[in-house]
Amino acid sequence: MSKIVSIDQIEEGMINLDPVVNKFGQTLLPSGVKLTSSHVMILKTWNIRSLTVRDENETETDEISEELRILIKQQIKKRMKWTPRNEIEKDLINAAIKIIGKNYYRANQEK
Amino acid sequence: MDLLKKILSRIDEFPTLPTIYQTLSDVMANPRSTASDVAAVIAEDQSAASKILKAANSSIYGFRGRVSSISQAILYIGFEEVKNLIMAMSVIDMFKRSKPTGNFNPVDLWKHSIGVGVITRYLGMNVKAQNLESYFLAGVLHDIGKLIFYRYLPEEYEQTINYAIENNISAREAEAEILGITHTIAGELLAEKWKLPVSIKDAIRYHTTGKVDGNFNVLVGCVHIANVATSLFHFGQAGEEIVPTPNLDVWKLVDLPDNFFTMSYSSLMRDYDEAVSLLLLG
Repeated sequence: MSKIVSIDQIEEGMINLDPVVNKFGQTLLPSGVKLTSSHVMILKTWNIRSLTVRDENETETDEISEELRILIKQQIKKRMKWTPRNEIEKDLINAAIKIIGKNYYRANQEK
Repeated sequence: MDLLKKILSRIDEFPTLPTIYQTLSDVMANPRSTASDVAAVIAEDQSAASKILKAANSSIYGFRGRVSSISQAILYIGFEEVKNLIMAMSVIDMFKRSKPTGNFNPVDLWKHSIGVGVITRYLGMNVKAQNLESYFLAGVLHDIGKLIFYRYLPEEYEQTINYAIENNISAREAEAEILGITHTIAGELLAEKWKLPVSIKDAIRYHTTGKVDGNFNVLVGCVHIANVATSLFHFGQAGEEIVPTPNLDVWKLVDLPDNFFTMSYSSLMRDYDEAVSLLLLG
């Protein structure tokens, strides 16, 4: 999952999760970027104080069970008339499995 | 076809845009207007004002509680984006109270549309789009033609949606077969009546293919991909079960990193939830 860190806590190699936009609507930093010291400089120039980064410690709890994964994948396949043809389409379907799985857990917790 | 004529004859009855949007457009068209003039127009509409403030402070715009007045919101998110946000809110309110019939539920369609709006804007930020202020609105309005059918041909549209689901085809294919007119064309008619900018009109008309008259367009491409993603993610429901097929050429145009969606899915979930509670439940 994600965590919010202040500019001073940024370490090289952390992954930015939310695009950072300045007040003129220009994107300073897209999501998914591995942070370097030059990124931190840009952010400081624009007076950006915090960032959402990927929390490496929590990735395990983020996973859904293998059973549920297979079930969701089957359900998605039934609704599709196409199969993934490139890496980004595979990634999109993996993201869909994660989202549907998380929403499933969330709905069950509320019950 | 008779149904087509029926729709066309009723264009004059299509809802008109709310007065706040018209007044805002007039004020913004005046080069002497300042942020406080625009803020004054918004402040007159209390529900619009409070929603604009909440939106500016939401994760969608990322100012996280730093925006405390309407003038500040205008300064941070920009004139055009504020105007477009008011437009999105007004159109949602206009159709929100309709009751579900059979397999078609307007609330689910709005959830889908808000999902497409959120993802379109997120994609726009990542491809460093030039006119980012139109992205959210273009996504929210892309399926507006379905609501036109729902309002003016409720029985026929219910049949169409059932037909699409039973035969495992897209709503658009079923519309062409049963109604003789698709929601993309009906939506374009409404966009023309409302005199919406060409970019928004194109997104409504061409979101299923991702191409405008054979040419690529980044905004239309982003709406196209967002529509596929929203359907896969099960954010609401667009009156069809089938997941639209992405246009391979559009992927090349937007050129996202290979792990884009697995990297951003938790942000997208959060932004979608916030936008739904702000625009639909609030």
